[in-house]
Amino acid sequence: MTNKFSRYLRSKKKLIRALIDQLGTRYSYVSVLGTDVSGTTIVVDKSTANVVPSGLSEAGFVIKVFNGQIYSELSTNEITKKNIPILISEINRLAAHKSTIAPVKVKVLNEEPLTKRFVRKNKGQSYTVEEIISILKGYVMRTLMSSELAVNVRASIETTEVSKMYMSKQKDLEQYYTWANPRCYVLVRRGDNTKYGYDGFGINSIEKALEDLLPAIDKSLKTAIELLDSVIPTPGYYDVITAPSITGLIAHEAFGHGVEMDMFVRDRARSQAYFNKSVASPLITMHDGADATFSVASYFFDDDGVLAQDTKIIDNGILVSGISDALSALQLGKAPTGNGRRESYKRKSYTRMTNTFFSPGIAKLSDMIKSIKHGYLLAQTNNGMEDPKNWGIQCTAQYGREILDGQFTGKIIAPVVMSGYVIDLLNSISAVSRDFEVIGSGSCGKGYKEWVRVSDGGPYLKAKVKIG
Amino acid sequence: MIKQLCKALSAAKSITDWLINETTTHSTQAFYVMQKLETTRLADTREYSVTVYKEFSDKGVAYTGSSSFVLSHKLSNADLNKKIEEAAFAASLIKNKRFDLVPGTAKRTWKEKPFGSEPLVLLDKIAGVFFKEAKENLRFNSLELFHTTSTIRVVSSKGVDYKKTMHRVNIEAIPSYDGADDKVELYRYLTYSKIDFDVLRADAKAALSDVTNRYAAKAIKEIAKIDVILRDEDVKSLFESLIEDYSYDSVYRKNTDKVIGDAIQKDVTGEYLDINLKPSSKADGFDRDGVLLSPTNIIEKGVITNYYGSNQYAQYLGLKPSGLLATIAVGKGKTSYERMKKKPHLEIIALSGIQIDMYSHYIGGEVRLAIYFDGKDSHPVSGFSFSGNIEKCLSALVMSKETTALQGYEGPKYILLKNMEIL
Repeated sequence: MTNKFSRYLRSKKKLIRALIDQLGTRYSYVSVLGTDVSGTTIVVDKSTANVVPSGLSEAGFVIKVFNGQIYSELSTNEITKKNIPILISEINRLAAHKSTIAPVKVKVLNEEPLTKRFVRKNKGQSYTVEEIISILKGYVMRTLMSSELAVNVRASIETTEVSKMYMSKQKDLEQYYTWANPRCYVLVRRGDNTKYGYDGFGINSIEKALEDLLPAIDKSLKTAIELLDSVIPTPGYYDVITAPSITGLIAHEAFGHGVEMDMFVRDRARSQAYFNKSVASPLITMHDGADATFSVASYFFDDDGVLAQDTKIIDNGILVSGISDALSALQLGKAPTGNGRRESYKRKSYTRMTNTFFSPGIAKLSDMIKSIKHGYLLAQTNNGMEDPKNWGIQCTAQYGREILDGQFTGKIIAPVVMSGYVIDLLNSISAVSRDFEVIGSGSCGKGYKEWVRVSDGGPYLKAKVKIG
Repeated sequence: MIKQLCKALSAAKSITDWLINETTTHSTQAFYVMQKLETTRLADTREYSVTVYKEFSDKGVAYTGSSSFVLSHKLSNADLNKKIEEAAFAASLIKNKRFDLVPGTAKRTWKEKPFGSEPLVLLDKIAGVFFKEAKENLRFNSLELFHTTSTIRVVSSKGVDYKKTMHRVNIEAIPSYDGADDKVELYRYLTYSKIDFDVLRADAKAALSDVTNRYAAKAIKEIAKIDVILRDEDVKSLFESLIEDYSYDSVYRKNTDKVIGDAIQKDVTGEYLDINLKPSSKADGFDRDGVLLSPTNIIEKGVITNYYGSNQYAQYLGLKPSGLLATIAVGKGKTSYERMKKKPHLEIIALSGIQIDMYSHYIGGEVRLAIYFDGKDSHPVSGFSFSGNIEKCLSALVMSKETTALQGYEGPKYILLKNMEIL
């Protein structure tokens, strides 16, 4: 890791300022977002190893203008003295396009002057590729030797350093931050019965990532072996306790997508009609924000050049706020919340979640378990899907541990597909533990595209859900 | 830039071989909010993925190590050489079993026919087709149109120099219905390699008809078990899951205990599966390694006949690589859609997302819209989930004679899964 803001982006600042000045004579709003994201993914398993670029790697620019009616953007790899006339000609052609479809009525984005630099470096020791391969190989071989049931073990670490620059008529912002995502996957087999365990998390220290990966692999092996005796759940309604990763999945799918305010502009979110009304148990408070906690989606400003914030979405069961990108906030007459994010410089900015979580409560986990007559403790996020207009929910946990008369029975169910009506689920929450964990291992799509890195989590929750 | 790359890589003494993937994208995009134009975008980008290979031996064992990096803009020769040397060093640490890069034939180019119209004008026309089908309370609250021309070139030290150009229009449409009591929506993602406005119109109409049904949908009555019909994308997802573990790398990593000659359907009382993989179009001539693509049979009469996948892992299994093939092609069924619908059933129109776990033999999902036929009448229903055992489903599988062609799938439009649990 360089632990420094991109030399490449900085070398373009003078040209970009000239480009903004030139376009500014024609357009009331002009901005340029520059991104330079680099990193490496090192993957080791039983028989192979790979060193490939981080999946988030990109370098490019988004030039954005407002022609008085609509916003137009040009994504490009290169801004050079030579190609500036071509870029201007292209953006003029795009902005001058006469559509047969009427434009939305939208105003110009107003910005306050702001110049700022932000830096968050990788913590702890740095490692060479050779050292990381050697450590991961050691973890893999040790795990394979620890159980004859282990067929394969994969351990990886993705390191990413992000440099972003937002320049407009009013703003000149730079941010640099780093992240590491260790992941593992353990495959076990007994006869013709095959199962797997997996884990992953996000942290801004490669040293700590490597340190914490080994116990995560051990836990994944243990879970995979337990899953060999798992059964498919009998469909029905059950009392459950959700582990923090499933709590986060519920927060994300149940209400996170539903308060993305670009959905409000499109009349796509039922929650729009529920502000200052009860939407959840009074035990529930929910936040989202790049500045709400520290995890993989903690940046300093978003892709619209809006500073990171901490947005309280649900306050003791009452819906109090949504989250927004700059353009949606403008259309709704609200202040943006710093949630404008792009999959890459090649894509549009949408309202996106960042770090989303339920706040901790006061219950003791042991008391919550004791209170279950017959139900399950659900753990390990697999996937989920939102339905913000109609408040359906589907969340899949890798497994659930059976609880009978307040005790774990040792029986395990998998996979666990929870579904139902968001409001029923959120109102069924009858206990919130004092624990708190946010897990930053996953990505979130909008519909089935536009993937961005997010985190989610919270405490243990006791709720009633449909498992089918 | 590719000339600079080829020159620098050819001159690098620290590597044995190299391979460049150049991707040039011209994408025109239009975003509509409540049927009005909100944003227009152009993305003109060129990106390079460079892989360097290093052959070496250690204690008498031969290895081929590799490492990759990406480039989005021109570097100075010194910076480029530094990147190559860093990658070469990383490759020297990778002790992967030795394999050969794909040898090149003559320089070749494949091209799909472009759509014809200027992209912004074409997107405008498509939006017009969609919006013309709408009414005041039945419309597309969000419509996103993407016209993308991608040119992919693969050049390697082994003489590969292939280029292919493909064109696609992708549409994300949110059909929405505002009723007296409620507002509902559905999600549609459509991909076209040919523009036929009659097809687009029919797809827009179908999306609006489906969302009208969602508004009319009621909670399902007490049904414990029933036959379920899946269609289009859900059928594709199921077939993809069925062959997922028969790729060369999956087999090499022992993700499956099945081998060529094993049956994936047992005690068959329904129809046998034939599953092939093929290129996405005639212009899809090669994969990222430079393997020339042709259709490959994976499952025949329910039995595994071949594995599939990349050059490296094919060689590890001692097989000729099929290459990375983008389209799954399934043999059509023997049962007409009309016949499939004769007995009581649920036809699923929209799921939250089909859930399939091959290791646990699970299939299921939350249903956003289905049509329930009770033996006499049909009713739109929603707000329930279905689940079942995938092995049992495959034994009694029924596939339609009617076929469909989606992005990445050609085959039966409908399949019937017997005796699924409903909650």
